Amino acid sequence: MAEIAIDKVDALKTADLHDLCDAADDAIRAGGGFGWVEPPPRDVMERFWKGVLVVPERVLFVARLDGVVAGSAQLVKPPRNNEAQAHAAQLTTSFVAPWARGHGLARRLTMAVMDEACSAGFRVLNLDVRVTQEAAIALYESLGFRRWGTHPFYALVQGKPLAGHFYCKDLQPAPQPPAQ
Amino acid sequence: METVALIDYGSGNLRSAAKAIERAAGEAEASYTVLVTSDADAVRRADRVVLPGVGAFADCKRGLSEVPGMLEALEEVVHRRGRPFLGICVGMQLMAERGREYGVTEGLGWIRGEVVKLEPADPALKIPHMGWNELNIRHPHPVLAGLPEGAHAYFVHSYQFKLADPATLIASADYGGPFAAVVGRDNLVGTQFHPEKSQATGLALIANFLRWKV
Repeated sequence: MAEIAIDKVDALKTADLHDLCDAADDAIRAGGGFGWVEPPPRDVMERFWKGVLVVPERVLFVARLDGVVAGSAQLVKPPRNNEAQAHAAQLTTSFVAPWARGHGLARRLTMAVMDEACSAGFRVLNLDVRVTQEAAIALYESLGFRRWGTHPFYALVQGKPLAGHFYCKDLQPAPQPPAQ
Repeated sequence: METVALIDYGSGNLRSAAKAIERAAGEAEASYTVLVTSDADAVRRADRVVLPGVGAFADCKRGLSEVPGMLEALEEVVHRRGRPFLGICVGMQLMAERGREYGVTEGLGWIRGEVVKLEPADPALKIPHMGWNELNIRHPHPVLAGLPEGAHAYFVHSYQFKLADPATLIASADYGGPFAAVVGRDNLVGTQFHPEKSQATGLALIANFLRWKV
């Protein structure tokens, strides 16, 4: 039985950083999205993850399968000058390496980000996803995310435009009135 | 306590392979020290040797050649001492006579054949071949003991090992045509797939490798 863990991290040991880069490379090659179409050079990828750790508005989660980092997701808080949208955070950069799929890591990562957003007092969690990410779409909808729109030119992959769906989730839904 | 040398020659991250060997050692109920090393003398002293490999054949061969004394140490430990050897992905491909990725590069020449581009019959199949695939066992082998026909393993590769001698094909997989998934002879075995990322199949194979009495 595979051992699964989700960690909120504020520092990455060298070995974990390498595993995270490997997992991201595999996810990108498999069409997993999150910005890159092809994996960048390893030094660029390493700087990206190191950069995530120093941005105060970003909270990084990693998923481990048998102790090895195999996926990741981030909670992005709004900038402090955005008072009107201070209630809304973003779930972004979510992926699981293809070799680690089928163990529920993506669900556990998403729930960890939702819990973190709730704990931090956010009312709404937003996310967007390529229309080709069918498994991710099914996951988000099963967790109560509501699709509110589709952008027809969301991404450009190998010269072709690709649509993307936009979702939101109310983290503190108003209590329903008791049935009469 | 036996020592397993996992050769570090700059070909990618070795941590997942090291962790998988440690975990498989637990399942094999045997005590092993897993040594991630670029020290040729440490490889000479090892009881078992694992050669991983990620990227292009030529880069991996160059990287291995640039580690002082490593090629000589491998020849000694593998040929003269006959210690069990496991090659993973490009580490498996390096056992070939030559590789044809970015020109022709001489391999270790331990198993006859060459490494050529993967060209699936169905052009819709993407390269690299990336994902889970079934193993079709062609010859029984101790490292496949207990693995069922059709066991799933995780592959990431654009090239394949075309074997000259069908007796060295232990298991194949299919991606728009059959290709070598496990190769071997004598004390040598190699997997095109990544056992360290192949969950139960991979752990079972590594545990079998650790138990393997050549």
